Amino acid sequence: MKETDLHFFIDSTLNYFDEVTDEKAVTGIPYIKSDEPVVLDYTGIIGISGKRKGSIYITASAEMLKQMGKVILHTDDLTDDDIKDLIGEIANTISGNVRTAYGSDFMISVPVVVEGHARDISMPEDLQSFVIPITWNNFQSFLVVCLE
Amino acid sequence: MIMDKASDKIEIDTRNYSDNFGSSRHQLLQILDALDTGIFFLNPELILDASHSKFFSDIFEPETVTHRPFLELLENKVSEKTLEEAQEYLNFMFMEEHDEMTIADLNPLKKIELHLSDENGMWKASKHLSFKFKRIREEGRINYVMGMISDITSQVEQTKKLADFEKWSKRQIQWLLSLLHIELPLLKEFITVIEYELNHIDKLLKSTQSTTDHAAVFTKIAKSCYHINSTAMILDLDFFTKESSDFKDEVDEIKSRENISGQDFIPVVIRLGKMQKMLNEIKDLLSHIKGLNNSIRTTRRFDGGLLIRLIENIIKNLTDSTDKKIQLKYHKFNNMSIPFKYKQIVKEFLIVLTRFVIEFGIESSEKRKSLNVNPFATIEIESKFEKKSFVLIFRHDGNIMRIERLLQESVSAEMEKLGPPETVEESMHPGIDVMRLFFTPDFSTSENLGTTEGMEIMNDFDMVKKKLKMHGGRIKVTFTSESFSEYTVTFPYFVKKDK
Repeated sequence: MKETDLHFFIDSTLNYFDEVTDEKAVTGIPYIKSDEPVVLDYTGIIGISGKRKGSIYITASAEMLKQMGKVILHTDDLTDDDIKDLIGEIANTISGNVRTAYGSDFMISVPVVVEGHARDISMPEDLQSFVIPITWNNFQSFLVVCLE
Repeated sequence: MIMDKASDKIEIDTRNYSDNFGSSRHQLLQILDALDTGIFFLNPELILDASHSKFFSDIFEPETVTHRPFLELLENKVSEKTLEEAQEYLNFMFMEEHDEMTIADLNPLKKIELHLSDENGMWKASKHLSFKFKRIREEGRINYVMGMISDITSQVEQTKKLADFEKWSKRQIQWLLSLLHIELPLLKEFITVIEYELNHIDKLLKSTQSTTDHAAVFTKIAKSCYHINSTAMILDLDFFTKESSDFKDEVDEIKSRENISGQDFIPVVIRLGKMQKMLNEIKDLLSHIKGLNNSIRTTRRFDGGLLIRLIENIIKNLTDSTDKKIQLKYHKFNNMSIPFKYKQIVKEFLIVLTRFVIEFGIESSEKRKSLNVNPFATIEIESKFEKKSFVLIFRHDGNIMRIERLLQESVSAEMEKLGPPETVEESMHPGIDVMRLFFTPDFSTSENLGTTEGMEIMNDFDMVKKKLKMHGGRIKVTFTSESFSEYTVTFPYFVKKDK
């Protein structure tokens, strides 16, 4: 994976936070994912295939998503489904940006939302995955990128 | 070639059958099933006909294919661009005004990769398919388009494997040529050091998430990069030196920025990943070359000559652009006496110390003349066995006052931790404080030197210190006279007793 790819995914994610919540998110120090799971309460996953293959996911805590929901929807009354929709929307936004930037030669899957952090999200074994911690409003989430 | 011939045969057969399309369809499919070729028919709305070969439906299993829009079957399996182009081409196939042969080149499905996903929509495998389309006329009108599909997965994968293997083997041969001149224990040590430093950077990235002092993290990463680069340089591993040198330069550049953010670590993590991959490949390669390496190992006498020549080259390179003149004396140095396991550390120690002494200790010939000493400075190396130990002595007659000035700020604080010098003679020498600091394992001198060269040398020192500690070696700095400084390194050496 190239440096520009990683920058692109990070910028897409940061822009989402900035535009939707009016509050900037900050990138932490990225690292290479080991066998240790990087999964919080809710995870939105998108698959990429075509000229280059891989997958990207964003994982966040329920607290963070509830807080985001409050800011976006102006309500405290958020159901589990609302929270799932929210993480799905973040993944969808990244997916849309990837589609726009990488062109129609790439195939981007519809985001899949996974709830709970008992297991790790499986990524292509032969590729390195990069973890980018993202802090928004003192809540930490992780963007995990794995691309050929 | 065989596939093309088979395909041509099918075309001829199907063309014959197409004249009596309706009545012969069942018979045609039976024949085509036997030929292991996918056949299907599309109406002008591009809907799949109920008649299709088993081979075709098997490709899209478990999805049902009958009466489905053909392009829907390909959705999320090929790119949107391919789908759009396919729709356009297939519509042309039903238009009389377009010549079938002429538009054949527009077929976007001539060779495609079909992406198969798991239940979450993640890519799990690919099938490479080749589609050909033919018009089917009934009463002179184009009523159907017949699609023929061949699975070329194994052919494409073999071609890709072959290309990858060719690329891989070319790289491996280049690496192998670089690795073969290095003795196996030295290579193993190289791998240990590189692995340690790469893991160190990896751990740093993971463990410093809460820090806001990104510059401090970069300083630590830079240090590991210097170690990696120096280690590769010492072994003359060009391919690794190039990569580690780029890594080092990039880290240096980022380190010098005013405001460092989390995103500035992206090039580091990408390079780290690349170097980890390289190291794994070297490890893999090493496991294959053990026997080969042993069989073409250079003789120790020849290797000894290389070591002296290496030191001479360092002296020449470092003094060429200066007015420093140095003579190397090595008549008391016997390379063949160096215990095998200490060969690498001895080599590194001599290189680092030579660079250090030339950079900071030895004055220009003019300066030496003005001090009324021989304008040619002397570096002398010696090896011997003493009390079950292997002893390496490095002696020079340069002045080390300059380093003391460079390190002046750090000296007082660090000296308190070190305590008084061991002998009166040592305590009298102006450079003793500095010398002792260099060889104190936990003291990092690298931040105290302004020049890049100085910093690199000090980082090399750190590395040698670590290795020395790893081998259980000791170093002592003494001053044999007013004009000579002497570094004595002692390594434990136990000779096995004969039974």
